[in-house]
Amino acid sequence: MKSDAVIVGAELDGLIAAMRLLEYGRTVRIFSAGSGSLHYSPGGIRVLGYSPAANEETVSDPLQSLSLLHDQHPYRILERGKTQSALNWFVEATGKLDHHYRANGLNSMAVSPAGLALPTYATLAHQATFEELRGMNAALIRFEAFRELPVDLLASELARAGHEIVIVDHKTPGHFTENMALAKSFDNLADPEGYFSELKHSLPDGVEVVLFPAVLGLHEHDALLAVAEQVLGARCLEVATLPPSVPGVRLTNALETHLLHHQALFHTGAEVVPSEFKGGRCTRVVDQAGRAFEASVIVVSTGGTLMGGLEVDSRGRVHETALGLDVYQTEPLNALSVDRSLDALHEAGVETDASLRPRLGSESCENIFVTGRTLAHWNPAQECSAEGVCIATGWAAAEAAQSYLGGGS
Amino acid sequence: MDNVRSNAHGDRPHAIIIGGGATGCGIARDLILRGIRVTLIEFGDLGSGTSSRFHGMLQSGARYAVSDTEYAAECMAERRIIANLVPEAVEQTGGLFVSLRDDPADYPDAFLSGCHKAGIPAEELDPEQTMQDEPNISREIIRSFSVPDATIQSWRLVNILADDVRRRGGTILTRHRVSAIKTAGGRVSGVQVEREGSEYFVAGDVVINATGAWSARVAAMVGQGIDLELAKGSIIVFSHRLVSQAVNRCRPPQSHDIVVPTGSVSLFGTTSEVVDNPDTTHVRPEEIQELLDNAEPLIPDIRKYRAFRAWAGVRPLYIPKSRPVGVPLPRRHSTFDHSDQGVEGFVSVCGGSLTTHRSMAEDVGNVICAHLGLSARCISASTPIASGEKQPDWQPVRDFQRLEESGSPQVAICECELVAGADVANLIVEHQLTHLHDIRRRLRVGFGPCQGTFCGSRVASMLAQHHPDYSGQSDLTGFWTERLKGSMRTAWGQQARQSMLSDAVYRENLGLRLNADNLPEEDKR
Ligand SMILES: Cc1cc2nc3c(=O)[nH]c(=O)nc-3n(C[C@H](O)[C@H](O)[C@H](O)COP(=O)(O)OP(=O)(O)OC[C@H]3O[C@@H](n4cnc5c(N)ncnc54)[C@H](O)[C@@H]3O)c2cc1C
Repeated sequence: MKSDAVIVGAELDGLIAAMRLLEYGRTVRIFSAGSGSLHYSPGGIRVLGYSPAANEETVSDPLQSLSLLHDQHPYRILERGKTQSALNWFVEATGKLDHHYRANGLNSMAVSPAGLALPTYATLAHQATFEELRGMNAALIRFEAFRELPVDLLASELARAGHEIVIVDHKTPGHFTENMALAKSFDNLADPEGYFSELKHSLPDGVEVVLFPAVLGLHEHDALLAVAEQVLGARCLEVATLPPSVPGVRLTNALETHLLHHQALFHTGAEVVPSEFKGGRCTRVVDQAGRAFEASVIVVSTGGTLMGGLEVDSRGRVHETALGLDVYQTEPLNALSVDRSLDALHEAGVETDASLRPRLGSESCENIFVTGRTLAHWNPAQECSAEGVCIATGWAAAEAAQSYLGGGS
Repeated sequence: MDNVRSNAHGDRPHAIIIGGGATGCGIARDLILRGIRVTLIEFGDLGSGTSSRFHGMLQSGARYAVSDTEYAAECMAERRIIANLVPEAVEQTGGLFVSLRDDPADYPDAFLSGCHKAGIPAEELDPEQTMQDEPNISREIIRSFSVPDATIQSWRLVNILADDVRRRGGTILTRHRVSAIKTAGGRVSGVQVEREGSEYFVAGDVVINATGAWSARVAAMVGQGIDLELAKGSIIVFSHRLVSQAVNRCRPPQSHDIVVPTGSVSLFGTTSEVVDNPDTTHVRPEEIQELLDNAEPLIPDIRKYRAFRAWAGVRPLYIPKSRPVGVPLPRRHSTFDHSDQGVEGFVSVCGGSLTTHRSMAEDVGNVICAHLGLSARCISASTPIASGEKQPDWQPVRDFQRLEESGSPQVAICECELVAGADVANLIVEHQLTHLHDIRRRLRVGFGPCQGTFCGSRVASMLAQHHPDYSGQSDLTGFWTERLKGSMRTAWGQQARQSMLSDAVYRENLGLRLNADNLPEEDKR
């Protein structure tokens, strides 16, 4: 059972690497222990929201600002221009999967569930942004017994930021109030026109923008939002909820469906246990049931500490769980001694060369590529950069793997 | 001082109590029951000092049966009284004392006879049976004993006491700091208080210093000295009840020898180190390792369990004039009538424990009454407290049922601690609460394994609904950073993932920021 590439972990970076390798005609096998961290992503692609220098100011041109990052940062170890190419490719490739982003090179301020700004490089077509709310009369829809969007908090923070906003109560299409189930009941809505016409009666006059919790379907959201805009005569936008994030699940579904269509093999619920290295290479992964799978290259996209790709022991030492790779951390107890922020845990991870290959002793491991949150020296929470780093490193890992496999890009 | 809020002199004397921990709240209740008017002044929220940074035990006293038999007897008597008075804050878990293979072999007999002398019903158990009943503890138990230890929810205790005081006409001022004690002609005349930048004067006939670890500082305001040793103790919180009873090592009391089940968690502690500053609540990573290393003999798999928080409190131990060398400082409290040192009407109390807060209050009450020439006797033990339901606190089945009966399981705001939305809403309206912290302390919202990851913004939303000028961003940041501060110390295994998830929710999803401006400052009294 040999494939060209084994991807460990179905993080955004792993899915991207798989997609790109499939484009090159490679065979791909994907192991995933559970759902990826896209389930925590509010939607949109965040590349760099806050500058590390200059008092962590909000960044307006994220690609331009990458040069401000320290030189071990994943964006910096990739060759110049790679991040831009990766993002261009991603926006185009997902566009073909009917997943549409708006990107003009500058950050927009997406609206968070708490009514705060999330600097975002590419926002979803119907993702609420502060730019679109400016100067508009907005209504925010509150579903009864729905806990996953703190509506009153959101409204009060928007009002504090100077926006005109009213809360309007409306029923849900079914009796489910949990994110995923609610999204499915929107998918199954028999009479969308009727549903939104009823809402129209409760809307005050002069509403120009209607904000919904981002649960308007897992598949039918574009169509439903189009109907809503037509019936309500207002711009209709979604605000991300608490996790699990429906927009994140939509993207995961779109990517996974695409991969399945292109004959990627998925092993879900499968964990990979550390295996042997020979002569600077590892060509076999073993799952928890002891089954071995051969591959020419291995991409480790296991999501760092958040998703179990890194593990901290009770003495504060950090371990890489899939292949047992060496891990950088400031000093063992630091993971536990960090005062008032989790930065030491974010910064810990696997160090690599410019092709994202980890070191093995004094040399680079030839055929292993590490991506996303399992990499050392970056901090998605501090920088507001989660999706950007995952896309750039996932894409770059695929490019490096392709050239290792003897193909051109 | 233009804003003078002096109390008109009524016919009844007026006592000012500084400090709203268990001791201060107990004193306020004791005095008001004796017919004295009271005003209690607390820097933070009630119980936000050592009274919430403790080990959770309502002591039977067995721990001190050998080292301080008299104090042990006091604990036992108080433990009975408190369990009767505030059953809704107490869980009668029972306690175990276990002697391990390497523990001093002669201690258990001394322990039994000490308990006997102190009136603590201790019973020797079959060690085999004990090991069967408590599967998570050591298999090396040589002897074991059961004693009537219990646990107590301190937030609940202080609020019940304070509510009783309010109902009887007393005044409780929280988030007020006493900045000076005023005297006139060698007598106290009242205190200067600060609140949010403004200051005013509160007049009183007597002033009581019940500020625990801060009492030397407060006494110094009138040039008085109190010899205190400040002993910081750190505690680790583990998810789940690892044991069903409070389990103690059966050996002379020292550091790290007790694990206590309380709420949905277990507390292991404590370390002990002398500090200079009563505001010290920092847990050093070395202390965590010290705790884990020392827990292993009692709970061999301790490093495999999920720890989700650590905290530290500071014990104010009184150093007697003739300090015996080589023995631990006595735990019994001391009351100081500073009239002897030339400040009439000023009384301090320190030492003791949460378990004995009521008898501390009784002693203070006696001193005050003698001072004021009143003959009223202490009735705090015999006067019931009329408060809500008289039920033990930890009743998961009852809480589940309540949530289910309320129609929709979705109304749970905090799944970890089973808190219903309606309860939060009632509390916000009834007590005019404006901060997440205040709700957390009263309902345990955010106390569970997820440490507020999901419930924080939900409760913030309810606050925003009820208070038009609620500042969600700063309140949520304060709430979350405070939760993080405690949970980061134990960020290993599953809890490391949980902390990262919490970070993903608060920073990546909700968009809060952590920077030098909003990192939590330690409270400074
Ligand atoms: C680690 C540890 C574990 C413990 N475990 C147990 C146990 O299991 N069982 C037990 O019975 N006891 C235990 N104790 C002891 C017990 O916690 C304390 O004895 C008790 O809580 C002291 O209560 P208090 O009211 O005297 O002090 P505190 O609770 O500290 O109250 C003093 C209050 O004074 C306030 N204050 C200070 N200065 C000012 C000012 N200038 N103006 C206004 N207010 C001011 C503070 O804000 C504080 O709230 C433990 C103690 C520690 C440290």
